[in-house]
Amino acid sequence: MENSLKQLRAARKLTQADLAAALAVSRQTINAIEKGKFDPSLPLAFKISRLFEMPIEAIFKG
Amino acid sequence: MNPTQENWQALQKSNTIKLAVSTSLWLLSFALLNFINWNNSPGLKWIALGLNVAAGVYMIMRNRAHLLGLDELQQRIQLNAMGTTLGVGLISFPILITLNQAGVLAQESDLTVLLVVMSLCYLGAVLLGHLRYK
Repeated sequence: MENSLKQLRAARKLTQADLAAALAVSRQTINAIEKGKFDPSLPLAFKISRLFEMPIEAIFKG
Repeated sequence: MNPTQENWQALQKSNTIKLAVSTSLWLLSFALLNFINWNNSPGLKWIALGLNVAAGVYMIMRNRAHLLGLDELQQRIQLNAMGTTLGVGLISFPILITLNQAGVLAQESDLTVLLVVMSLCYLGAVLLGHLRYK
């Protein structure tokens, strides 16, 4: 699944570790999501959506 | 770093340490069980057996807590590794029995071979899983 997580994170000057910290997951998970290797669960997608104050469909494009 | 992440990281660290300790305890209790001579001290052997079972149950509980404490990607890696290991175990078991019955394997070989195969398979599958999502 394509997503704009990397761009959103960069726009807010956050590192992968910062984002992982905010979402309570490992940095490996953030990296895998950004590279499109791993699709997050709905609860994690909602957490990402809330953090960036954007709708899920604006971040993740199936 | 926010409190949620601190809690999550602390929980992961704590779960990992508890799993390592419980595994070591189980291993020690297993060594004790094998060290005691059954014929000379059956009473002690029963105590050692009880300790081994109790340590085993504790290790299973700690392993479950450890898995539940992982994030969703780490849980997926573990699930894939456990699925692969179960499959390898299921395939290897009848092969080992057949080879033993046919006399192809040495008489001394026993089911500990299966444990070694499954352990190596699990280790390899976890490493491959981490490489896959790197």
